[in-house]
Amino acid sequence: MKNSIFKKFGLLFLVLVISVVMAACNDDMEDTSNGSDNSSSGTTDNGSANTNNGDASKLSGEITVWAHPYTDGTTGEGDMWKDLVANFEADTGVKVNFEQIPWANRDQKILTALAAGQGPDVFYVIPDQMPQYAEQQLILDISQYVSQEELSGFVPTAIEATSWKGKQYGMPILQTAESLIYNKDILKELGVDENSLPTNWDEFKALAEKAKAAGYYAFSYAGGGSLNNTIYPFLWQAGGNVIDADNNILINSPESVKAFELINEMYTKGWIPQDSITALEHDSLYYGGKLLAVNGSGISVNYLLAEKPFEFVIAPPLKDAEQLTYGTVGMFVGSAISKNPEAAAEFMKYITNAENQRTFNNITQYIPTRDEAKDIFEAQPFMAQLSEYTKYAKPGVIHPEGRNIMPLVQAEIQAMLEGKQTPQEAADKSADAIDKLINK
Amino acid sequence: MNATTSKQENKQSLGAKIKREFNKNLLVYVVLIPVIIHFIIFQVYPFALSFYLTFHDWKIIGDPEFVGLKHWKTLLDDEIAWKAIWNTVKFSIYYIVPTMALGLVLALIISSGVKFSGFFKGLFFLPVVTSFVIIAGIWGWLFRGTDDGFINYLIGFAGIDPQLFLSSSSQALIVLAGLSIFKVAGTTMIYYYAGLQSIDRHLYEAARIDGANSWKTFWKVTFPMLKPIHFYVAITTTIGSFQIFDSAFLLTNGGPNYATTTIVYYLYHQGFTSLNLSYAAVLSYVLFFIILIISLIQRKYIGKDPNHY
Amino acid sequence: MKKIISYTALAILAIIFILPFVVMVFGSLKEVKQAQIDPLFWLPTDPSIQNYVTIFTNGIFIRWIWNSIVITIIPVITQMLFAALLGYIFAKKQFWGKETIFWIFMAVIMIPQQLFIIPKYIMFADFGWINTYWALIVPELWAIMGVFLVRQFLQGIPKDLEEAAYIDGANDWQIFFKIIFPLSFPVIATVGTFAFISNWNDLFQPLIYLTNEKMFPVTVGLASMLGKEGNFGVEMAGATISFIPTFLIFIFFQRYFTEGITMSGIK
Repeated sequence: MKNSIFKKFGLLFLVLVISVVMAACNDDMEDTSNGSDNSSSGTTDNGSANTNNGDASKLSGEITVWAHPYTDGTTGEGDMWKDLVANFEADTGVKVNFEQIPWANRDQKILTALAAGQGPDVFYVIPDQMPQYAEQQLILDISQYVSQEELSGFVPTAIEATSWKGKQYGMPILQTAESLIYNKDILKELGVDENSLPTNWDEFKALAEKAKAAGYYAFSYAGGGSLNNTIYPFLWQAGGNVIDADNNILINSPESVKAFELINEMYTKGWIPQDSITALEHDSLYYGGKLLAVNGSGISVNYLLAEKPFEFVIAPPLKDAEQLTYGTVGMFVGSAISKNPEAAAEFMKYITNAENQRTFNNITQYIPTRDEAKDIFEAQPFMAQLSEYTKYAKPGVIHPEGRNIMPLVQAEIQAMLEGKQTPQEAADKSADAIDKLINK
Repeated sequence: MNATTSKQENKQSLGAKIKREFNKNLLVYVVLIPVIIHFIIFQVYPFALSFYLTFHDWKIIGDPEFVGLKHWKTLLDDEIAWKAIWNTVKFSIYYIVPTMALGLVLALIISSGVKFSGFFKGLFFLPVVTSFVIIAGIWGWLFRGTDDGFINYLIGFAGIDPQLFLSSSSQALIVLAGLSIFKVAGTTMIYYYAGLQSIDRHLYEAARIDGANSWKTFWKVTFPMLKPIHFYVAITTTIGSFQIFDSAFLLTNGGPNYATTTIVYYLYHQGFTSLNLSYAAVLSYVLFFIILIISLIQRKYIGKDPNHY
Repeated sequence: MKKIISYTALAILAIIFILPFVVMVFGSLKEVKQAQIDPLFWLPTDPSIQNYVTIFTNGIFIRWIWNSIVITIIPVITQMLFAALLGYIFAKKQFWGKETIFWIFMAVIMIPQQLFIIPKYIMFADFGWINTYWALIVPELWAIMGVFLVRQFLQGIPKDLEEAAYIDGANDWQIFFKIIFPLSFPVIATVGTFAFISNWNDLFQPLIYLTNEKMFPVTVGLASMLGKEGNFGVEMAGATISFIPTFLIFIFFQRYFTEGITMSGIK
């Protein structure tokens, strides 16, 4: 149906061209279009076509699954997928075309393939993208294939992050939680006991001032990167928010403004590096031992354990009005144009069951989204500690415009840090920009 | 052959005339016709299709819906789009002439008879073949806005205060232009080098006999003789500068405060993050018209009279 | 004195231009898990070739190189040929609509190719070209920038040369192969070099049109080896590997850049 308009346009275009271009090219033209007809009928034949025979318990046909490299490939990720796919094929009789797609430009790749009526039956998204894809009807509502009981084994924050407007779209496979990771060497130099680390903003500010006086940066703020890793956690901690599901804009509420003020204070007092306005990371400062603390996740923990640049300690997320932090949830979703939605949903359920989550997260070092699978971290105290904090973790702004709001707010914060406006103005202008965006 | 018979011949055999023309320009037709067909399929068709879709709501899944000029109107009061256009124009000012100048200087150096000129030619070409991601990473490191950033460290010796560079809305675009100049100058150098080799040695001798010094010789002989190269390089760097995207994508994410949001960066974001494909198409047509106009101006002022040898 | 200044300037330029290359090669000899560009991080403290071993032992790397060669070499050869033919036609032949056709060709490359991706994908899907070489070879068979370059150069060549040949009874084909092609070969070599560099390094298009790892060129293959957090050492090793053929092509062809353009000999 979708392609009909393109075909129609193509035909119109062809007629136009033929009438303009001399008759001499006709032979070649026909050759090309004949060739295309042949090959296109060829693709429909051997594509993932599988007509729905109405019986959900009997699965057949084939599905295409797109996943990404979650590790650098040295820990057996490739073999893991081979086993998982083979077991699924043996259990269900569905053939799986598993394809590992590079992270680079993955959005564009998925959207382009879907636009051509092709692409995977199952693919990977994060909660930032999910509501937008759901509103555009790109992904499959799997509510009819998944029972409430089947969902009850997942942690509530993971279910919240994979559903939109009461419909279940994704099956969560992994999650992360960010918390404060302190450099122990600096703590020692400042004479701070690692068991009495800051729990709220005021204590953190006092420690930051101390670190600054000793010639360190207190914290990292990658102002050019995602707001999920920068201002949003503070916004939530202060009791503020960006926008709710009913389109109420909360970013300039008094609570939210406190977060803008905090960031501004951190910058003007030199607690965060001078390039925080657009920096994309402060890794070299951090790993080089010039930064007291970062908001880090399992990736940094694994790096610190492997490379041992310094000793570290993890502290729980700060609490102002509330104790909250950012943590993403990785999920598999089904394509809305999948010709085999039952098999797609079955695969999503299969890959996120407790056993397979153990396997997956053990190899990739992410946190499982089921409590029973979290036992993989029994021997890993730091990961166990982080997986405790997933209960505080919010997965970002779950809203169809969530990804479009970010650059607007980011620009206002950047103008604030450049000294061109006050925190209140930055918050108000952000609110205006969001308002303009959602009401256009 | 008198006039009457040739007139008759004209009337009688249009076919023969075409045939003669065809024989005369056989090469042209044999080569050009397949090329034009290829061009129509792979360039004109997508070009026309996306133009058609600027008048529709182009959805990823589902039929496009006709909305008339809606997306074109959006452009009129989209402040960020105008800012992006202005940024792109500024970028091209920072980029085009310096790239040409640096390329020309490098070409002059390697053709001036320095020792190991082949080695230096390879050296100056290195950034062209080195991965852009790496060059951008190094550039970002050099121009880090913190006190211990490399350039800040260097200018500290000259008593200059640390600068914010990529974190400053007045400097970021210039730093990105510097990156592109560095990456592309080797290419420009090759074109100029080839051009310099083609200048007639007698012209230099004549200038020397006239008593011109090397500075004067450069401006009176070398520079004007490079006109076809200037034209080619000007057009290619113009197109390159208006399509700048990667460095803003990798180093600044369009910031601070939209200071490095270029048209292509903005349209990429509109298209593939906001799923606003029709509006992205509108932006790309705006870009197309801007480049077209500039190229036509360049063609008029630099490109005319190419047969000046 | 003057010499000292110019050689100092040259040395400074040389250091600046070689820096990224040094970082790339030394970085490839390090085992660094996360991207971090630190002032001295790349210095080869206990260098290891582990990253290269990782890449070459993944079982499919040779296939990726082969794919890269196929989708690069064919377009490079045809682009050189078409650049020469079309450059000659647009510079020297007279026919109806010549200027218009040329500038329409030029105009379309001014549209950012990002936008063509979806229409092209739909078309390739219809042709059955997704996950095949065709999607990457056929659209690249000729390129206008090369034509433009050859045209610029040929316009500078005096007319007397071909006119003399016409008088001798040569036809277009003979003139093209006997005079124009040898004469413009340095320019064609330049076109070929830049076509090779851009096709070999293209990541964007193969990334979109290919999903089967057996079809990946080196660029996409290496990208597919990078996990979410990246792997700086492997990235650098990959960059070094893809650098080598492009630089060799440059070294090999660059001697032609200078030959023959020396118009003084012809005049």
